[in-house]
Order: sequence, then structure tokens, then C-alpha cells
Amino acid sequence: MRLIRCNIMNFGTLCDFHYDFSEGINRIVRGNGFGKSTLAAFIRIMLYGFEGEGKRDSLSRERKFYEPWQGGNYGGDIEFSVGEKCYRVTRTFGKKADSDTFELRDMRTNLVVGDYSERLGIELFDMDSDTFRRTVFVGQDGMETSVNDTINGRIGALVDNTDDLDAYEKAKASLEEMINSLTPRRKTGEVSKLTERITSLEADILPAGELEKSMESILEKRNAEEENLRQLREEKDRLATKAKELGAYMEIETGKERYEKLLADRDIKAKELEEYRKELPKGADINAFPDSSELRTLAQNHMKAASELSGTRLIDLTDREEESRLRLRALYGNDDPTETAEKYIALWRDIKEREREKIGKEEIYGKAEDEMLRETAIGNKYRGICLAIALIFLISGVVLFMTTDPIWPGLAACGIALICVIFSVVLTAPHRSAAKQRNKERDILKRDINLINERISSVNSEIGDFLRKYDKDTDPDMIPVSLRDIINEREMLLGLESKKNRAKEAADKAKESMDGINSFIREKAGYVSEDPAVQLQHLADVSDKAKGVLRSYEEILVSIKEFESENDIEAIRNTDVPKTDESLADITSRLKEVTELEEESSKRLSSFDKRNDELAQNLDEIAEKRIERDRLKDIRDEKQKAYDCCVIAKEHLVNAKETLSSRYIKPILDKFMYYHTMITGQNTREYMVDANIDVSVREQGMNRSVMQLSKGLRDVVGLSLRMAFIDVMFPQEKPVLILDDPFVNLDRTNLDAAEKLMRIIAKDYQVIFFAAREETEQQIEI
Amino acid sequence: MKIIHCADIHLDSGLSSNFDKEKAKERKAELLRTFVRMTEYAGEHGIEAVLIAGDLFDRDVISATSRNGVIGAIESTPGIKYFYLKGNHDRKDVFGSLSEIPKNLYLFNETWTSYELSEKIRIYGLEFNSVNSASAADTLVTDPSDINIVMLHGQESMSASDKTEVINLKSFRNRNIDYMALGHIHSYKNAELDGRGRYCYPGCLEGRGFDESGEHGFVVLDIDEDRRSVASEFITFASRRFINVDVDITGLDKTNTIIKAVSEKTDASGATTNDCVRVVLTGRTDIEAEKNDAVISKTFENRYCLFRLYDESAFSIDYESYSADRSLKGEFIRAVKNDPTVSEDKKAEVIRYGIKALLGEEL
Repeated sequence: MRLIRCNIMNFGTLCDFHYDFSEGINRIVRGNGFGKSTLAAFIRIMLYGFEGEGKRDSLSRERKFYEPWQGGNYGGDIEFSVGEKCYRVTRTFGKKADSDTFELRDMRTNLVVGDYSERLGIELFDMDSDTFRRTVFVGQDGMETSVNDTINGRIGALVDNTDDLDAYEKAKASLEEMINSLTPRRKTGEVSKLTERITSLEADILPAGELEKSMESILEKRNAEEENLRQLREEKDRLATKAKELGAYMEIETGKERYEKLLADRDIKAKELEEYRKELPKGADINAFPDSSELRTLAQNHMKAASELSGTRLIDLTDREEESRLRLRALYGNDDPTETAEKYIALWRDIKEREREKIGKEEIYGKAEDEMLRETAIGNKYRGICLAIALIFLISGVVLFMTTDPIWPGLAACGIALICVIFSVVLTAPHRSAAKQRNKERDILKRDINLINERISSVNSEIGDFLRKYDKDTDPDMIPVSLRDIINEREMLLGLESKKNRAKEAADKAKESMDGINSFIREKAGYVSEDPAVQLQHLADVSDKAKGVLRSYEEILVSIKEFESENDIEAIRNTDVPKTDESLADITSRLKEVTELEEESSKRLSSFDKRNDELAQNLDEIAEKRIERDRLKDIRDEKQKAYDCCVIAKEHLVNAKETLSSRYIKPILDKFMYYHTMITGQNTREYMVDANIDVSVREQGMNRSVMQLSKGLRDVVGLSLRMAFIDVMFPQEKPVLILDDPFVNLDRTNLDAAEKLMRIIAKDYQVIFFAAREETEQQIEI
Repeated sequence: MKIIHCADIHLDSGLSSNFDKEKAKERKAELLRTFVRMTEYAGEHGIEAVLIAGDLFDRDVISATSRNGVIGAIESTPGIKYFYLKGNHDRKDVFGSLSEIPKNLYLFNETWTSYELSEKIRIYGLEFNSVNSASAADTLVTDPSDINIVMLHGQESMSASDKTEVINLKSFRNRNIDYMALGHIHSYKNAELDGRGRYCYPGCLEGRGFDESGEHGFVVLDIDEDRRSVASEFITFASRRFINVDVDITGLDKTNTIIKAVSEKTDASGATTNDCVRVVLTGRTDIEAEKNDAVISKTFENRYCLFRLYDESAFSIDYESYSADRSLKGEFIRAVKNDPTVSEDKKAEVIRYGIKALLGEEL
């Protein structure tokens, strides 16, 4: 591959910059600030694109770093040849990757071609940007280099497949990670953790033997207790059987005693019954004899009747009352004057009312008479006056008529006299009429008064006759009192007679009751004592006792009958309880004792079972832990096996890598020594290259890191190693070498040698060489 | 007459080797429930007797739940006679602490005990100890006119042995035995004893682990007393099965193709969601094959009640094909191959780790 030309539109400090590259060495010697490193970076970026795209730091992020100072899009193109073909790659860069453009044209046809993509560098050199930096591109950051997986793979061209060489570091790291995670050497390792857990479980399992011993011991005790319980149960059964046998005998004995007692009781009751029979009428049926309650009720009734009989004297008439009753009965006989008397009282009240009416009428009569007289007097008075005046005027008229001529005065006077006569008639007429009316009223009143008087007289006469019949005061003022006396006396008579009748009825009833009870007593007891109530009480007592004794007697007879029907009396009488060492009481007591012992034994047995259950549970837990331990052991063994395998695998992988590397170490070392000797002009130091292509120098019998050499010598080592890599990596199509001021650390001797080296290299490689120092250019030109 | 013959119920087993704590608890309850179901089956199918030929319980000390469950089941089927012969796991006297043993429960001891089940059927039983096991057959006295059923708990053997739990079958030949109801072996076996009788192990009622895989249940004997014949039928009764599936993954180089192979094999085994499945990967895969056991396990763990994956497959490596390989891998494989300190089995593992690392795969 060879660069032909570059055109920079805008890129960092460079703007509208063009450069034609020649074959061999291209010396670009400019002062500081020209943009030499920018140009070197431009070439790299045109091949690989920007680095540090994800970084925020503008110095690390190339896109930002090389943004033109004047802003806007930036980029450019590079023309290059590969084999026989020439291409122009044009890239423009924006703020972000997605605004970048890429174009590749075939220089001969000027057509866009797809021979290479944006990954131009990778596709041209078959190496990534990192490898590019470690080999053909020497930046300002130094000449030193080392291998990566790609370089390893490329320089391992002697091997068939470099993919796994590329993956070596990752594989080794993966195995180491696995080894670390599993390691039994550290507490954090899984095997170690499992071992710890297993140890802990084994500590838990350890008491299993003790527990089993305890369990066996408890089982022995339990079995002994079980045997004890069995014996106790046998003893209990034996005692129970014996008690049952003795019980049977005792039952017969008890029955015998009971039978004899029944017979004795029967005789006693029969005697008692005989005694009670004497108290009762001969041949009386005790069962049919009245109950004590009935007899006591009768006794109470008798006492009550006797009390009632004596009490009738208190409610009967007193002598005085009887005397009054007899007097009144004689006076009134069978009459009942009450109604008549009440009628007369009403009549008398009416008469009194009439009398008050009569008095009123008499007053009105007097007034009417006075009125009549007064009206008559007034009429007479007015008539006299008028007639007197008429007479005067008549006389006067006559005189005048006679004396005077004109006659009219006389006529007038006669006329007035006439008028007066008329006037007298007119004036007296009402008074006469009124007097007449009053007279008429007076006559009517007089007649009414007379009628009332007649009525009063008639009634008084009638009441007087009535009162006199019952010997009562007939004085008119006393009439109502007398009439009320008759009514009262009649009521009194009735009351007295009623009282007398009630007393008689009560006495009769009590007597009748007593007679009935006495008849009952006579019927039941054959006689009536002086105090029948006491006699009845006594009979009640006798009845009670006799009936009780009779009931007991009959019950005993029933019991005897039942017993005789249920038992063989003859056999019972002839059975004797066998004599034994242990009485039934002893056996019962012993049975109770054994039962208690059995209960205690059962409790102990339960306690053993419970304890055994607990131990069994503990043993179960231990068994589970044992299983868990075994499971963990299996897992640990697996992990340990995996660990061992990983350790061995890592060891052999490293060995394999070293074995493989050894195949290309020598070519690398040879190339390295070739270039190193060419630069330094001497071969005095002994350099070593290991399987990892790490260069060391052997001095005073020891391998020393090149880092211990001076910076200048390190650069020589770096350049030699880079050239060794490049030679091995690019046996066919040679890449372009880009060196950005690489020899600043070399001394004059080495600088000369380096420049000489460049000239030799330039025979096979195109070299783009940037330098700031003039003498470098001059030296190279030499 | 119909009789159930069962054995090795192993109530109160730990079960923690296959199940976690909660699942082990559930499985324990299932064992008890299956025993109770068997008694219900007996009640519903006209069974007149149940022979329990040992190891009803798994340990000396049993839980109250198991004891009460068994007693309750026996008492709730009073018409059925239960003959219980203790095994090597049973405690010496499981029912000793009971104040009253169920009336329909018949026990045996360390001398021959016989019960007359009917006029013609007699049940004999002997619980082994270190003394009586050797002379067991010699001390058995039977009536040839009876139908004789003998209950024992021990390992079958055709020769004499000093081990307590061994039944020398030869010694029981020609002892008028019509049926030997045995217990101790956890899988079903029914074989001829002699010209007259057969011996039978019903196996355990429920499998408890992958070493007890397959069908489990009990045997129903149908005895015709007139014809003097004893017919037996194995009844599958377990609530779930343990199934072992071997999958040869030779030639398979990807996890998904291995999953497919496992799926085909488990489907072919008839495993259902109710079953416990153990898959063992066998065969050889290429050293560069992509095989992820965790992904395989995850794929199946919810498909079954319990899923276990055991990868017993090995890697195959053709060293010859790498002999001329001048790559790092070739160099690495040759280096491992030529390492005399690494065993051949381990070499494949080491190479696999190295190659996985080089391929950038997760180790």
C-alpha cells in the first residue's frame, strides 16, 4: 500500500492543505505548530476513523480535538494505491458519527466502488487501530511497543488458526476467574465455603452417636418399663379375677343376709300392723280407711263448724232489738206502708207548693182590688171636673146668650160646655175599662184560692187519717216527720228480721256440718267422742302409721317373693363363703394399688415414648444434615474437580501458548537483532524475547526489563521491535510507515544510525517522516 | 375367601434423601393414607383378612399419627382380621403401650404362632431373632390337610445363612405350605416354592425413592377352600411411582437436542405429572458439545412431582484429529494428552474447560 496524495479541506489546524507523497521517504520537516501531528493523525483517521468517541474529555475525544477552529464540516481525501489499483477515499466529519460521510472511488474510472468500507485500515492491513499504533504508526507518545493478540496472531503465521491465539488472554482470564471463584485456598472460594459448611454439618452430626446411645438406653428402660407394665397388668388381671370370684361368694352371702333381714322386717311390720289394727274398728280395711289428710281435713271442718255455731250468738238480735222487732211487727203487721208514706210525703210537698201558690194569688187578688178602686176613683175625678167645667160654661153660655148680643159667645160657651161633657166621657172611659178588668181578674183569683183551700183541706184530712192509723203525730207541721218515721220503722223491722234469719241459717248450717262429721266418725270409728275433732286427729295419726306399716309390710312381702323367685333359697342357705388368705377388702385395696402403679407405669412409658420421639426427631434432623452433608460433599467434589481441571487447563493453555509462540520467537528475535544492530552498529547486548514477545536484556547474568534502559535505547528497542513485527506481519504487501518525530530521544550516534536505517527501510516501505528539527532533515538527506 | 398380603409399608420413613422437608412430610402422610386406603379397599372388596408381613413401621419409635392412623384403620374395619408380623424395622412391641389392642388384630412372636382363619385355612407366623431363624423351618408343624399360609419377614435365600433376616427357602420345601407371605424385599416377586406352594414378596406398598422404582401395591389371594387352590393377583395401588430413565446422549452436541431426547424417553416411560422421575444421562458427547445440565433440569422440574438429573455421560475426544493441528487449541489438547500426571478421565474434563474458555463460553 502506498499513499499518493492527501487533500485536507479542514482538519484541526490544517485547512486547504495538499501534499503529494512520493515513494520511499517523505520528509515533512516543519516548525512547531505547523500541524505535523495533525497530518499524521489525519492519515490515521482517514484509515481508521476517530478514536475515543465515547469519551467526554475533548483532548481524548479525537472528533472534538480535531474539529476545525473555524467550525463547520471537516475532512478531506487521500489517494492511495494497493497493488495495481489506485483509490481515493473521501471522508467528511460532522459533530457526530452519523453525520460522517465516506466515499471510495477508483482513480482510474472515478467511480465510487465498494472494495473497502469505512473500516478501511482494518481491511487494508488486517489489523485494528491499536495494532496500527503498535506497529506502522509511531506517534508522539513514543516508539515503545508490545504485542497484542492481533500481533500475536499475525506474527504467529506459522500456526494454522490464529483465532484461538487472539482469544488466549480472555480464555486465560476466564480460567483464572473460575479458579479464583472455586479455589479451596481462600475463604471466598466456593470449595472453601462448601468445606466450611460441610465441617459445620459434621459438627452437628457428631452427637448422632450419643443420641443413638441415649435412644438405645431409653429404649432399654422403656422395654423394662413395658415389661413392668405387662406384669402389673397381669397382676391386675389376677386380682380382678380373684376379686370377681370372691365378689360372687360375697354376693351370695349378701343375698342371704338380705333375705333373712327381709323376713325379720316382715315379722316386725306384721306386729306393728296388729297394734294399729287395735286402734281401728274391728275388721276395718286399712287400705280403705280414710287417709290421714282426709281425716285431718274433717277434724278442721268440725272445729270450724263448732266455731261457727258458737259465733251465731254474736250475730243474733239483742233483747232490745227483739223487743223493737215485736213492737214494730205488732204495729205494722203485714202492711207495707212505705210506698203510701212516700206517696203522702210527695203529696204533702205538693200541698205545700199549693199553699205557696195560694198566698201568691191572694197577694195578686189584693193588688187587683186596690187597682180597681184606684181606677174607679180616677174616672170619677175626671168626670166631675169635666162636668163642673161644662156646667160653668153652660151657665156662662146661657147667661151670655141671654145677655149678650151676639149670641156666639153664648153659643161658644155652650159649645165648650158640650165639649167638656164629651171630654169627660172620653177621659173616664179607660179607667172604667181598667177597673172592670181588675174586677174580673179578682174574681178568677178568688175562685182559684178557694179551690186550693179545698185541696189542702182534703189532703190534710187524708194524711191525718193515715198517720193516725200508725199512731203518728198528725200536726200539719209534723206530717213529713211522721211519714218518714213510718218508712224508717218499716225498714228497721225488715232489717231486724233479716238479721234474725241469718243467725238462724248459720247456726243451722254449722249444726248440719257437725252432724255430718259426727255421722262419719260414728261410721268409721263406731262412736263419737266428746271432742270429735280430737278424735279425728287421733284417727288420722293411726291411719298414717297403719298405712305406712302396711305399705312397708307389703313391699317386704314383694321383695321376699322376688328374691325367692330369683334365687335358689335352699342353695343360698347351704352356701358358705370359702376361706381365703386375702379378704375381698385386701384384694380390692391391692387392686387399687396395682391400678395406680399401672397408671404411673403407663405415664413413664409415655414419657419414654415422648423422649424417644424427641430423640428420633433430633436423629431425623441429623439424618437430614447427613444427607445435606453428603450432597454438599458431592457438590464440593464436583467443584474441586472443576477447580483442578481449570488449574490444569490454565497451566496447559499457558504452556501451549508458550510452545506455540516459541515457533515465531526466533524469527522475531532475528529481525529485532538485525534492526537493532543496524541502528546501534554493534551487537554487544544480549536481548531475549519470550513467548509473550516481551523483550528483555541480559546483563551481568540476569534478565532485565528494557524499562531499565535509557529512553534513547528504549526507543531503539521499540523501533527495532516494530520493524521486526512489520516485517513478519507484512511479508507481501508492505504498509506505509508513519513516524511522527520519532528520534527526539536519540543521541547523535544513534540518530545517525536511525536515519541510515530509514534509508534502508525506504527501499521496501513508503515512509512518512515528520520532524521539527532541520538537522534531522539534513541528516536524512545525507 | 379373599386375603390381602402386603408388607414393607415403612410408615414414618425419613424420606429426606429425595424430598425437601415439606415434600417429605407430605410423602410420609401419603404412605399412611395409602395404608388406610388399602384397608378401605379390603372393606369394599370382600377381603376377610389382611396379612402384614413385616416392616409396617420404619423405626422403633413411631409417631402418634402413624400409630393412631393404623389402629383407626384396623378398628374401622372390624369385619376384617389383621395378622401383623413384625419385621427388622419394626419395634419389638409397637402396640405394647396400648391399653387395649384392637380385637381384630392378631400378632405373632418369636415362636411359631398359628391362627385358624377358617375350618381349612391356617395362618402361621414367626418373628425372627438370632436364635430361631436358622431352625425356623424345622420347628414348623403343619397339617397337610389344611391350607397353610406362612408369614415371615426376611431376605430369600436358597442356602443356609447365619444372618437373622434370611429365609432359607429350600428348608421350607415340602412343609405343606400353600403360600409363603413374605416381606423384606421391596419389589414384587412371586415364584414357586415346591410342588405345592409358592412364595411371594408383594414389595413395598409405596415406593420411597428411586431405588424402589416401578409399580407398587399388594397381593390379593383368592382361596378356594373346596378345591384347595390359592390364586394370587398383584394389585397396583401406590399413589405415585418412582421412574428411572436412562438417556444415551452420545452424538448429541446441543442442550436443546439433549432436552428433546430426554423428553422422548420420559414420555415413553409413561411418567405422569404425579410421578417422580430420575433421568440419568449416559454415553459420550463431543468435547466441544454445548451441554447445560441446569437448563435441562429446569426444563423438566415442573413437569413431574419430583425430577432429578444425573449426568453420568462422558466427553469423547479424538486426539488423532488434533495431532496435526498447529493452533493454540491443538497445542493445548496435545499438552493435556501428554501430561502423565492427569488421569485419562480427567483429561477430557480438562480439555473441555480449556476449549470452553477459548470459545468464550461460560465455564
